[in-house]
Amino acid sequence: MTATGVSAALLEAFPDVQEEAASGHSLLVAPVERLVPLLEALKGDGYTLLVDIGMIDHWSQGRVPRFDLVYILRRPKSGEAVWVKVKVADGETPPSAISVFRGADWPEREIYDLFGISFQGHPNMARILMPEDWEGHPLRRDYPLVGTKPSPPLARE
Amino acid sequence: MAEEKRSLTLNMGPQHPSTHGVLRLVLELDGEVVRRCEPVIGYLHTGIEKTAENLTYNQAVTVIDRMDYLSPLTNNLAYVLAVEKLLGITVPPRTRTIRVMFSELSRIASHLVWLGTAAMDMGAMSVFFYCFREREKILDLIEMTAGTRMNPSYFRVGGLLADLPDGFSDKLGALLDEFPTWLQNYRDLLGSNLLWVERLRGAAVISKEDALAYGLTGQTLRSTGVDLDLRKAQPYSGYEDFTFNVPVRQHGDAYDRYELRLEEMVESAGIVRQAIERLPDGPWHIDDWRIFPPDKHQHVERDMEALIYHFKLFTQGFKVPPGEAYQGVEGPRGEIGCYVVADGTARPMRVRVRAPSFYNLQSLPLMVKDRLIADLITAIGSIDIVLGDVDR
Amino acid sequence: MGSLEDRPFLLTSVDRMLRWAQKNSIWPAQFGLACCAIEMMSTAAARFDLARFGAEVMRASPRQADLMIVAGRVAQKMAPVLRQIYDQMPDPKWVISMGACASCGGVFNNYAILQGVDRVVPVDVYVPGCPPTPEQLLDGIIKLQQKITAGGIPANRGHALAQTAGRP
Repeated sequence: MTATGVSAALLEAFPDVQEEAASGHSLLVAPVERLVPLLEALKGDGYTLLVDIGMIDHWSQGRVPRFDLVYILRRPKSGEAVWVKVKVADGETPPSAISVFRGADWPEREIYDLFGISFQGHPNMARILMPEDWEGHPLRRDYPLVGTKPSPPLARE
Repeated sequence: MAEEKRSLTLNMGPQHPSTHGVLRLVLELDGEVVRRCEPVIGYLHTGIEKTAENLTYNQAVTVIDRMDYLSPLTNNLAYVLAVEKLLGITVPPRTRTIRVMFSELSRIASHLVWLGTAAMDMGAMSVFFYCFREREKILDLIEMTAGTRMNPSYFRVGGLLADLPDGFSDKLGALLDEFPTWLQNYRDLLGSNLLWVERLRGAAVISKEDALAYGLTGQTLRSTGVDLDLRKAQPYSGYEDFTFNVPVRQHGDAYDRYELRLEEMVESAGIVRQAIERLPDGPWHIDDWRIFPPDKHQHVERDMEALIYHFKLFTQGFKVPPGEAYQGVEGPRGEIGCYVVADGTARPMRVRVRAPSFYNLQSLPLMVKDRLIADLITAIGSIDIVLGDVDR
Repeated sequence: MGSLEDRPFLLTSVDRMLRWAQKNSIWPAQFGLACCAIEMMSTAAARFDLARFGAEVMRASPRQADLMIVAGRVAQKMAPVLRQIYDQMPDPKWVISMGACASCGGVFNNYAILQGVDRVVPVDVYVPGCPPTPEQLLDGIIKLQQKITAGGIPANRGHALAQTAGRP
């Protein structure tokens, strides 16, 4: 066991995964093609609870690749958390994690809906929060807060 | 002529009295048996994450409130702790204890709404009146402290909105004294009610493996035998100083969840009592005018410098050094987590909320597959979803 | 029928009688959206007791309701559904817009929230607050009762009548 909690053997098996400093949890930065095997290995290492999948848009800093995809896993015994971070470029399609965690279904759809990043191998890559005919992906930093459509007129009857 | 067997597709919601808000379910029925259930969500999508990005750090507290509106204070706690992590500040012990106390009070209030509405789904109307009557007493405490009944935005970065008012501990003491009677009432009304017990036992079952794979937390996870409670596992805000149990059940059914919630209310009341009994004296906010506003009467009205700080704080907010922080707290429905990314300005670059109801609801199709449609109502009630939390 | 002298009787016009009955038996549609819905439930519960004003019969079906209390923020995805529910309610019908979000979008001036439910359905009474306290909602209902008693025209009829009157 390393100080951070992820087993040393696991880290050795993934030489292209970097461990970075973070407070309160372990942070692994992985290349996108190693994502699913890494999640699988972490699940085997005791991180069986999928806490969250989130996405951060670094558009305002002009960073390339633009997005950070973050997976947070937890050990149900101790509550220890690990983050897996993957950098994703606009238009890239990261692999779906459904084969490892079935709970990845909705969060991946949410990311597709709000950021416009679709996942490879997801069985139902459709909008989840916004109406199906919505244009644009609202949580992108370059999407205006008030949307793109004007407010409708007052209803009279 | 061979009888043709066809399934019926039924649309339930978004306006339906027992979907606890604007949840829509598309059901495929074979007689009364649910063959397939597909939740359709988004009817309350509020864009809270996007809105928070456009507000200063302290303003964002107000919109975070309105997600899980049954327990706004636990939302506040997750967000405020995450921002404090980024700033690298620690709040005084009195603040921590008051935060714990109010989180637990709102947990009780939230469970009361759950109990009342879940019982109403089963046709037990009177429980609803009892629960709401008693919830009002907790709301009164919140109102006398924070000024509003719901959505109080009471926790602020670096402290609280205000200190406890005079007469608070007496009122709270009276509430805690009568609390066991409330619980006895609910047990009398429901525990011995055959309809309630029979409809909950064995309904909405989920296995431990499925619960983990679907990312379930809270009572839905603990009813399957996993004793994960962040208050114990990864303590925050001084929970390590309190004595309490984490009740766990093994069957993973709706009845277990009902029992767990009742027992959790007892534990919460115990924590509240410990908190009020050993509430430390001292300051209730940090002493840094760049982050927490100076006192109006003591400083702002007398001191030009304080006035400038006060003005700057409320017009521009405070800057947070670049970085990212996640804080998960144990809300009434499970782990509610706030993920804040700062870019060095006075507004967060990203606020992501890990909503417990979102993940819990995802397991609904699994719980109700090949069960009667009546069990579906039980299942929706038993996972205690708040649509504001699901859709954000 | 005997003589009226030895029996109690009441003189009124049909119209006033009808309004009196309508005022005291408002049936709201059981339809909640967000935070305000919880306060609406509180209003109906033991402490505030909406039954004192004859409006406690929350109907799950819009076809049996004559008041729609829009309790909470209206998402863009919900707006067409809300309109459909409104259209299913029989006339005469009234709408209370409960809370800041339903009235004007409230703190959520963003892409997801309709900036005021009056852009989808005509509103009779606006109740401010975020969320309004049960007392405020009761006040809104009393205001609506006053409107009904005074013979006010429901918001959805006012415009149509004005148009008819304007026609040659």
